[in-house]
Amino acid sequence: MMWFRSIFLFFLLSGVSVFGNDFDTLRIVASLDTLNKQISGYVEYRLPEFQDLTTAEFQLFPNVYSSDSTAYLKDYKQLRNRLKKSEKWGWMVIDSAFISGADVSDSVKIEYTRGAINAGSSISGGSLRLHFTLQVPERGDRLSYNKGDYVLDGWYPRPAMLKADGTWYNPFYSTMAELVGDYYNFEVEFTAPAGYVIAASSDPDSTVQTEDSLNTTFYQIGPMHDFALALSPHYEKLEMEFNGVTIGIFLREFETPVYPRVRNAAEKTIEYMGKLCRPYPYRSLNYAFADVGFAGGIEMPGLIILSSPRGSIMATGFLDALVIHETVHEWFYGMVGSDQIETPWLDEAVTEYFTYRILREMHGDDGLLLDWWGLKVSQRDQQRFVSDMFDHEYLLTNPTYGFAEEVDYFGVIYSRGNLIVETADKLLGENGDFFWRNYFDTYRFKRPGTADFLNIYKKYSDSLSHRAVEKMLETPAYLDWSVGNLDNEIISKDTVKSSFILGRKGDIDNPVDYRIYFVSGDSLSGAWLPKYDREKIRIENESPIRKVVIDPDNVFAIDANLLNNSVLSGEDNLPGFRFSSGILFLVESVLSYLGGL
Amino acid sequence: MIGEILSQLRNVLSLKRLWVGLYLCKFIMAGLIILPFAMVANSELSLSAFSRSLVSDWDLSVILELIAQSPDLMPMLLAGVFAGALIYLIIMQFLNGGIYFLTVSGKYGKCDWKEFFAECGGGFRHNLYITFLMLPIYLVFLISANVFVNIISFAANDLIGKAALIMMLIRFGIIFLIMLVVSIFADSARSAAAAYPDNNFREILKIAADYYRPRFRKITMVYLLTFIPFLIVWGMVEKGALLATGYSAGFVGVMLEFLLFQICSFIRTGQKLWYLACLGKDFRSLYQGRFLPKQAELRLE
Repeated sequence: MMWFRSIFLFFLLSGVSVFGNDFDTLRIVASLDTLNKQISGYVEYRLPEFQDLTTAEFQLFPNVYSSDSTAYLKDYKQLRNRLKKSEKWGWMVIDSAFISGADVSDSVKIEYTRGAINAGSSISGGSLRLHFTLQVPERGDRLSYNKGDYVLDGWYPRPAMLKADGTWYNPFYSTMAELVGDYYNFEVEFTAPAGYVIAASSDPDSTVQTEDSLNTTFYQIGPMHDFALALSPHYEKLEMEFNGVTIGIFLREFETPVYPRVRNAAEKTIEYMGKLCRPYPYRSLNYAFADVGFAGGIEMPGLIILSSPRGSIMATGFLDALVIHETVHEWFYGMVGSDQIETPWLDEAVTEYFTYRILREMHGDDGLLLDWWGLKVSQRDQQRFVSDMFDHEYLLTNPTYGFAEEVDYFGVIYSRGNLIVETADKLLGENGDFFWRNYFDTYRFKRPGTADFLNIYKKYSDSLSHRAVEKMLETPAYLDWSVGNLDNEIISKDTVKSSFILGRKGDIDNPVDYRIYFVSGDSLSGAWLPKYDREKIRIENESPIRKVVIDPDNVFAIDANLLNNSVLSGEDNLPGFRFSSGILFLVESVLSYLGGL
Repeated sequence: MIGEILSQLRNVLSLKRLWVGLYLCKFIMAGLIILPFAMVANSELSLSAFSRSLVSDWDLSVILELIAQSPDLMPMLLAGVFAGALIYLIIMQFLNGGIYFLTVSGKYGKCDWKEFFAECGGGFRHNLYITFLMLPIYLVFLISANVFVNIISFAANDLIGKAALIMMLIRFGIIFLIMLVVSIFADSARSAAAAYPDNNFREILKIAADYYRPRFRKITMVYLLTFIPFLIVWGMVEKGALLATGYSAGFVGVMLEFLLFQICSFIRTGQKLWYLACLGKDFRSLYQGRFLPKQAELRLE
């Protein structure tokens, strides 16, 4: 066994971290037992240097799957029932622990996903080694096996995070929580049966056949806050180079028809985000299809899991949106490592907003997901509709565990969050992209919070916009611009006195643009600084007004009602008539089938 | 068989007043159902420039905005459709008495409305019973058909894209065929009720079953041969409507689309009458009932 360890040491010494050696090394040596669905091995890392540090904490994420009463599964009905039915629960135990070579196994205390060692004396800067055994749950979500395929995230004991005051931050994993951790340079030595094709957070540095039927693969990558794997004996890897990144797509034979779409969406996103923030810094980005039990994806640094599109007719742009969303997460979650549990909006809402922007570039309009026989559905429609369905008292800045129902979490964090982030971005005007670049640079490989976001935002915005964004984030802010009561009074042949009423409902007091379109074809723009909730605007012109639009560029994406953002001088019954005509035909068809004629 | 089916078109054309009447009944019923919905929708959309895209596209952004701003709109429409469909179903059971009388008797030509409505009233009870009997049967077969297609498509679970679309159409086709075969029994029973109005319900069902067992394949084929032209027309109407609103996103386009939709709805009524004329002739060839020619009765005496 020594010879391949020597090879590993060679790679270890020759490997260069993307951002130098500012990050500690986290070493994982583990092997997968496919018979018992277990992984055993050890992790080793250096504890932070902090005066009087006598305790060490770590995270045992697999324990979220240990029973149907865990905080993670409690409100996760679908997964809970699946595990309850199969009784193939998941868990992780610490077999032994060593700090700087001393056996501290007896001091290990485990409660749910929180592991702790009280050494009794200073362990500052010491080396912690944890030997572990993991039971992989059957059909979990981010950690699971299904018919011989594995998705492995949170599969090793992960270091907790030391706060500035010397106490540990060991996250509490409730429903919808994703993994939180500090950045490390990973050195991974993973042994699995030789027949498996492995997709990982990084392409392997080398693979060595250790026994007849086992392969050990060596990885070195960093800084990252997680290292994940997906294994299947059925994977075929298709790869290509794009902007210096090797994109690997791991799919089963039946999934090959979707390869061009995944590739296209991945390339578009890498290019877009590379220009907006910074180019993707790692040498590889892998995508793996898996049967995860839900329609969606799981983002992990360097590795993206996509739910298999089996059975889908692929008529919509949902897969494009999914690939884009998960790829954007490589920047906002992967590199800007905001805490997904405490401030989920910082990665999900921001990511959803950039997904929308990239979809607009790819498919035009508002990010069209479907354009079929005159029926148009866009990403924007989906966001506005879903954002209206949740309980409006929830704040965007709520932690993951601050939502009672999944629908509220997704409605607020993803949909309303997208609209708020878009509004914040548009309020910055041309400064928007500079803000995102600065925010990314400042918090790359760090864990920013809402206050950090706002501090950077303040540098690029006026005080009103900053205050508006604060309100949108920290209160259940409501906004509805409106325009109505358009009146044209013809005074003489070339004089028309016109008036209309601009209105505002809600808490945002920013100025808003409005545009007047005259019958003559001319237009006039103005800005309204709402001192009151309603204001009558009077204009004298040669031509009557044809229509008035408030917020014509839809800067305020959170506007609750877009129908009242414009007013026409006369009624236009055509849209209503056409809609009713379509519904009439639909109802006639229903009646035909029910009544026979 | 095709010649036989085509020959019935002439008979359907001779029932043009009935055809128009049945279409108008459906149109008025549907119109009444959507009237409150249309009024609310129009009042929300008519003054807004945002809704203008609805003239050229079925733009979901406008429709969803409308639903979000008028949360009662969709429940109101659904409640209307439910109540309206129930009323329509009952009206149709009344009209079925007359319709099946005409098609099974073969009395085409100038319609005797007095006789028609007398038959409507006379056949109402039996047609209503047939509906009550068929509703749970449809439900059972719908569920069974779903289970069946799920089982057969289990093997094709890994299909993606066009192959999945073809599989979906096959699944839909199988469910449609199963439901069609079931509905043909209802048509057989209504025909039997028209030919043997004095028999009790059990006897009518027996005659229907006797007719249905050997003939359902042929009648299914007849239905499909009359339905396929309608499907083609439907597709052309949808495409035509799309082109109309695409080229002229204004009054002309919208009115043209409305007319095309109504032509399609009118043709759908005609398709079912055509099918019933074919079914009636076939039924009469085996079970004359009260439509047995008088000279034949005399000969028997």
